[in-house]
Amino acid sequence: MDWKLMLILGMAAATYLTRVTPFFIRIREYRFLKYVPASVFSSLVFPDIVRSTDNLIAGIVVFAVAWKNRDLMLAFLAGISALYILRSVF
Amino acid sequence: MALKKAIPVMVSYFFISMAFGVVASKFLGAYSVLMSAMVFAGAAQFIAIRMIQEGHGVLAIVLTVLLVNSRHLLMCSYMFSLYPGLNRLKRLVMAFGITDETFALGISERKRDHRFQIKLNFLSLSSWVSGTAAGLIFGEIVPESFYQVMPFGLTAMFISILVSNIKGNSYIAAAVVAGLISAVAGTGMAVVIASLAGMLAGSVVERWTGS
Repeated sequence: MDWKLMLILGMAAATYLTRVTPFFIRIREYRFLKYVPASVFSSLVFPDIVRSTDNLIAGIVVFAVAWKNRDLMLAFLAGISALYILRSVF
Repeated sequence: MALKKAIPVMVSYFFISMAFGVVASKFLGAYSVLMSAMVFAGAAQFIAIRMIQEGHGVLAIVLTVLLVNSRHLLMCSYMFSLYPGLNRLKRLVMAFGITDETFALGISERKRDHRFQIKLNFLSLSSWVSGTAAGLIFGEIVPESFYQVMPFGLTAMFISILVSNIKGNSYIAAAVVAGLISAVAGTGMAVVIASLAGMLAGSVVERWTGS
């Protein structure tokens, strides 16, 4: 088999495995599980906002916007416009 | 309804996967589109291309992808806890489309409807696949600076989800511990370690303070 096809099938299997396995194991410890969103999203956000001063400032702007309004679209637009302006100005 | 909710993710997925298509097509040609359709995991796909470029073998790449995507174990465990009564087929279908972003969209919704989640997943997938094809066909017609700010739009969405999931001191502890560890340790498998530490910190604070 072509190595490209083998790579794609291998990657697809590995990725699907990480997604599907938890759907067949019932974890009753909701005490831990309820912290998944706060922990996972914090882990995804922090490496990205400490990457540069622009990202950090844009991140703080988004935090302020998100605090006032929980709308995802608004956060999204605030994020890209803040970063775009910071990068074009400085 | 699902379409309206999915728009920010669909727009950014389109441009990010277009950037993926441009880079990946140099190594994989039209297979890039197949990869997007079958794998549907941004970080893993970009890492795979980097590793091909550096001359790594198939097995090394697949194992790296497994580690990078291990954070799905946490997100999907949480997702299943929201839909405990789902039948087997629906579990198999729903699991395929869970990404950081579709997970974020789904849990931010108040009402729990598995069909809504599945729609979000497949709308996002369709945008991811068509963006890859657009990158393959049209190449670099979109200015570089445009690609560069798009991923931050997703980070901004994650910030919003993070804020709305802070429901007390124990949640602050979870977020701070996870955030600090990941800021030092970086991405990939580190996200899982940081998250587990955060979850533990949350539970410890909960036991101490009762909140």
